[in-house]
Amino acid sequence: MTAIMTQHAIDRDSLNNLTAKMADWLKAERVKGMDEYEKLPFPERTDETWRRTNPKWVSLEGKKVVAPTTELGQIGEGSAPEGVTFGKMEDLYDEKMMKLMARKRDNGINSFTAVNQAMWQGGSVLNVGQDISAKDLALHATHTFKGGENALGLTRSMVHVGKFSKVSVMETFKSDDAELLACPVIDIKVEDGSDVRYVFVQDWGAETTCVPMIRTEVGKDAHLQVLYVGLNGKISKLFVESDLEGQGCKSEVNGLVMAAGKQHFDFDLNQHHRVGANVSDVLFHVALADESRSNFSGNVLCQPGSQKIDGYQQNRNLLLSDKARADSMPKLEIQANDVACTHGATFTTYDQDQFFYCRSRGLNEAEAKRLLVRGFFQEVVNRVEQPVVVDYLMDLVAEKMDHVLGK
Amino acid sequence: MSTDAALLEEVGKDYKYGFHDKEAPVFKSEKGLTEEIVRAISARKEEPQWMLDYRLKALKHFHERPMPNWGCDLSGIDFANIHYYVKPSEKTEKSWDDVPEYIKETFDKLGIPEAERKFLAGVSAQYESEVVYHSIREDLEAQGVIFMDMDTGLREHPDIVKKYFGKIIPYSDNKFSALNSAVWSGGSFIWVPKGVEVEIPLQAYFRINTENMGQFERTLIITEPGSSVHYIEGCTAPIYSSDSLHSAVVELIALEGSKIRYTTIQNWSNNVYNLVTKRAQAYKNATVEWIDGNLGSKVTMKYPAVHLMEEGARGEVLSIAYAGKGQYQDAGAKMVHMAPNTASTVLSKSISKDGGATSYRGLVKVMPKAHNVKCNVRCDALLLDEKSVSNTFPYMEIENKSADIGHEATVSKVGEEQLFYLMSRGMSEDDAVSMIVNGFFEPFTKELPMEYAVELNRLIQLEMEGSIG
Repeated sequence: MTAIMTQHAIDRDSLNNLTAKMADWLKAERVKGMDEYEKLPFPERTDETWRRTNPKWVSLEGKKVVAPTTELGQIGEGSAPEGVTFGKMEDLYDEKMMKLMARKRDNGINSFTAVNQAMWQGGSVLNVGQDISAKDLALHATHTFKGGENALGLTRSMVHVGKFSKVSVMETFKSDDAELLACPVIDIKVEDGSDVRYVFVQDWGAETTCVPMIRTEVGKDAHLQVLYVGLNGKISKLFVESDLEGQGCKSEVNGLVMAAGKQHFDFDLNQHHRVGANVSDVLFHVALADESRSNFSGNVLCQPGSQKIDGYQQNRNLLLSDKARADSMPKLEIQANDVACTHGATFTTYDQDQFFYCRSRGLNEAEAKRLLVRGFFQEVVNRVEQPVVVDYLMDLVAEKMDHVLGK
Repeated sequence: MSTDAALLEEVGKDYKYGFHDKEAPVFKSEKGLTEEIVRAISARKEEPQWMLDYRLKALKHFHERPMPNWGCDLSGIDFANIHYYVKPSEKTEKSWDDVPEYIKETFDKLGIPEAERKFLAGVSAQYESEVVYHSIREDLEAQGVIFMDMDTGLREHPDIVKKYFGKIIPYSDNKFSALNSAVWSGGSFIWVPKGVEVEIPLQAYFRINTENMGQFERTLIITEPGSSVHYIEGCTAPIYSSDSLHSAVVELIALEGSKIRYTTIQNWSNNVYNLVTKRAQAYKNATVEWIDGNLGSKVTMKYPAVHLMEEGARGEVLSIAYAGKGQYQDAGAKMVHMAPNTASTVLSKSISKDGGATSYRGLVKVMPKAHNVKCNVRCDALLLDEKSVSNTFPYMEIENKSADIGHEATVSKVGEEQLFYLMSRGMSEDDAVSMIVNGFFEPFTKELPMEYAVELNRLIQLEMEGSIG
């Protein structure tokens, strides 16, 4: 596929052009997305969700959809076992996949996901059957966009994992330094008893703004770990909507964010306990340098009757500069009494004693700071467990730290 | 509507203070809110021109400002159906003997004379909109402490009032502070001179007694450098068949090195909308503590705030909330750190039962130049049954890297192990739960004066009866 295909505006004519040769079911799904997009009001500053990120910064007005180039690969040795299908969205997305991924709930729908459903271009699909274990490697898709005036990236990705399987997948999003608004949508469905790790690596160019949406559905006794790695880009407004649909399941959402310059991060995470006896766990570590800004808004929602749930939410912020700013709103909405829900948020700078100790052992200022920031991320990194993935991520973080803290 | 009626009937059954006397006020304003009424209130009180202007500006802002669309459901408030001013008797009484008999009766039921016997410093009993009884112990007067109702304060100390009134909470702060600023009446005015430590708590008892009558008291407390004061307000109100509105504004100013402790126990009847704006400014090395108990009311929205203005200031909020059937307690705290080396603590405890809902909604803000700020927020919630709801909405906005901020919240039910242990020692399940709940509130109750702590424990015990099975 070439890097630039025809650019489509967001309107009915473009949609007709785009879907001219498509199958009826796909056309119908896209038209439904357009209907929804036209019906939904665009967010306003006064909406609670958008109070800290001005919707004007992510306006869809006059935008034209550009397709990414997608490279498929893997991290780690060996080959993926049989029963693992990994490929590009346009190749693998069929009617069967659509039915498989049909969502039970209607949370996680906004103007950006609706426009994505209508106009998506590019993305990846991972479909894994039953009883398959691929634990030494992580499948890796890299989507690279070429920006330009009013460019809009709309990838759609899907992960479906059958019962009792174990798999890791990573998506890296890249762009050049031209203007780009990216609204990727990632749907993850984990069937009963599976163990799935999904890593979202954000490595945008300096002028890219993004509004990603990650929607997950976790079945009985399954475990899903989502890791958001926020490194580069101008403005990021991340949504994660997790539905815990089965008893005994665990939904983890972890974040590792290194912000610098004038970067603006805004995280909106909702953990919906749809049934009882399951665990949600959110751990977001955010390091902020220069004039960067972070907003964390997490919510654990427990419906009436969802007893014996365990909800855990932790947001730690490491402030490296006087001009950095971190806001945190870890919320709980609990409507059942037999639950154990806790949350916490902390804001600190690096420990002066530890810094002094590092310096006394001969490390220069930058080295000492890098070591302390690395230590700050360690708790999140430890959760990854796969050594090849840890090495890959730490290299990325080290690169960013070279840039921010010096060598 | 039928559910509301059923609810009120339910509430009326065992509400301790559920009586109300036949009304005999001297002056009662027309229902509804118009410029004429505001002018009439001001004229009746013979207020200076600046206060009338202030009221009119606030009224204009009130009409322009939309209703808040977050938090609780406030659609039940009908602003046109409220008496904005009721004055029970012509002048503020000086001695207990002169207080009209029917008012005394109500106070008897609330235990006010006992409070008097217990040598409490002063009783400023707000009956309906005006303070009707006022006594200050002579030694306080000798120390130069001013403790009077706000209307008298405005007449006798216009300079102090004009300097601080509306400066901490401007009328434009929110819709309900605008409403209060337009029609305020009563409340306490306290001024403590330099270096004076008021050892005995000052108290005011509040009551609403006219159906559909809003109570808009306005309290202003100023402590000069090096002084300290503890002010207590407790509220009870009789049951009515339609909703009442209580919307107070409380402003505290703690100047250098002074200390204010403000204790509230709110036990409004379960048809009252309690929408209160409370804010304090703490200057250099000053301390402000809000001790806040929310037990009654239909809907409470109350977020006591401390603005830490200068170095070394300290703020503390200690609050409990209890929500039973049909109640929504939306309480919290706001700590705004504007200066370096300031510290604050928030401890919030809540219990929901019988389908009641409690929320903690709080703010911690650290301004860019406020270095070395320490703040710790802790919220604990107990849910006693499946129908009840507990929410936590903490907002933290940190703009300085040297800040050390911690926030922790837990939601849980009564611990099985604790319950099992107590029952194994021979207690009934009811008694065990009641003991655990009392223990849960302990950090709050131990900060209260003896008679309040006893009353509160009794109240909680009453509420917990039959909570199991």
